[in-house]
Amino acid sequence: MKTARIVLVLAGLAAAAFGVVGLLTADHGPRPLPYVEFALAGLLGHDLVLAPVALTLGALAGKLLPTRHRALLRAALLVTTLVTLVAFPFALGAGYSPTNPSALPLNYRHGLLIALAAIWLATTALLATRALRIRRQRPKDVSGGPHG
Amino acid sequence: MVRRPHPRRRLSTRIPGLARLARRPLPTPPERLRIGPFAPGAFPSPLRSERLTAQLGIAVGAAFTICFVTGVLSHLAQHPVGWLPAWPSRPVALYRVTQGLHVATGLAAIPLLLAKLWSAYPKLFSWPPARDLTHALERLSIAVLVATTVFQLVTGIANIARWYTVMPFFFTVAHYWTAWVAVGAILVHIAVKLPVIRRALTRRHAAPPDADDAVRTSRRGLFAAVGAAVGVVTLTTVGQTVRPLSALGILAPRRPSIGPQGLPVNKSAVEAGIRRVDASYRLRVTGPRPLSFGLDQLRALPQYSVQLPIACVEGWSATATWSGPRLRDVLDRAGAPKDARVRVESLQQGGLYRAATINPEHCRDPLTLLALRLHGADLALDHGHPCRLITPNLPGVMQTKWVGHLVVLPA
Repeated sequence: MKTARIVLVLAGLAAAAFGVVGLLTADHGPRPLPYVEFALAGLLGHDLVLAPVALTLGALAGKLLPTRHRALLRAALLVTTLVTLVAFPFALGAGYSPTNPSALPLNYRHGLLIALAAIWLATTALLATRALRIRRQRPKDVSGGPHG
Repeated sequence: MVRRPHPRRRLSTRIPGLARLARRPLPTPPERLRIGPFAPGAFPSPLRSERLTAQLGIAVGAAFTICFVTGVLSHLAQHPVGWLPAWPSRPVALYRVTQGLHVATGLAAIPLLLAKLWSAYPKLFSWPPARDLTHALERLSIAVLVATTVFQLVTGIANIARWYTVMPFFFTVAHYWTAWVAVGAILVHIAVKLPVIRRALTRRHAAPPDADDAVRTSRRGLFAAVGAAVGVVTLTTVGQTVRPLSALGILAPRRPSIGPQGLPVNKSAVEAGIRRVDASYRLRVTGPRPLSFGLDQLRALPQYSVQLPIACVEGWSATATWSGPRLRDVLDRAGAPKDARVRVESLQQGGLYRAATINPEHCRDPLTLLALRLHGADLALDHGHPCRLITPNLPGVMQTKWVGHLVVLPA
């Protein structure tokens, strides 16, 4: 394993060095300062904004959602968040230009809403089948359960 | 986490000074600063584990490998390197597949990378922040890793969303070279974590206590959610290149059937600064026998029809029927040698993609046309009227539109 690790480190350093040299010397390459600022914005945007907000919302959801369906609802919220993040640049529409109508030709806000509706429809269906299954499994259980 | 430093006898006997320096403990900040996310137990989720992080890491690593390989192929198709085999003209749909895969995998990698970063997030607040120089260097490499992988996904999606104003640099060059840094950082990360990965993936882990799946998210549940997000993202976008799924592509930046003459356009005539091309149009050929063709003369050459996909670097593609004279017939009339490369220049005045250099294999290919017609009608101005290059298996940016000049290059 030691040899593998040394080979990996050397290959990684070589690839990274090749990339840095390319960034610094390529025609039409980025100016260093705006490039580093953009890269840092991505790093800090994730570590100091996106992640804390997501963790806080997740923890909040963990406290507020009904115990019985908590895991499924949190999963649905996670899928909602991830799909919204990916759809954001399209829904924002900053790249649309009337001089090229075949680029970004759709209404992406509608598209996002349809995708989210499908996610929550599937969640509702899962909740319903689970409720049915629980009822079928315990037809004569009148004492109720610890869930509630 | 295991914090025991591994004995490094061999290294330390060879270069004792360096080893001692690398392992010399750095001062630990006062304990009263260990608050907030730095406090023990700040991240209570029992879902996080070495095993989960390792598994998500493999998924992200696989996605970045696919993106890197297909991305380098796309780069080589546009910027050939002499000692490597030239990008081929067959199979005709190869670039459509590799670049479609590049963009689809990049989009799928967004949920995967975010899940991976979530699983390792507490490590950002590990205490002490740096035990020794080795640890500090490792953490710096993680910063490079996160910054470059996030950079690749953010710039990639910004580019297909044509959100150019957000990027203070030319996308293509920055995205390509940063890919090398990102892959390098991934390799170093794998090397550093290899013992942890092996331990995490080989040891059978006991199920976490109180595994009530309905209340608490299980590892399986998290995979299902991330997988569902990847599935939704893929299903709603991949229709831009997989035609049978085009109706599902409600978030796809292109629809293969929408555009002038039922075909998308990457750069419109207005964007390229082409107003109209009038009857004075000539196609000049610079070669051993310099030639010049009017549109009628091009139409008088033997005409061929080919069905070829046009595949954009942005990941969309669509098949269309193109007609016009073969490039090789025109080159033969100009006396071009069989092994000559040809620079195909557009009438457009500026832009990095106004000309493309085409390899002999593509120049001589019977499917390579100077297309005058699309789906049986004259080309729309947006598709390159009066004449555009159509070649099998080359990126769309090289299929020059509004062709005004062919230059036979010395072999």
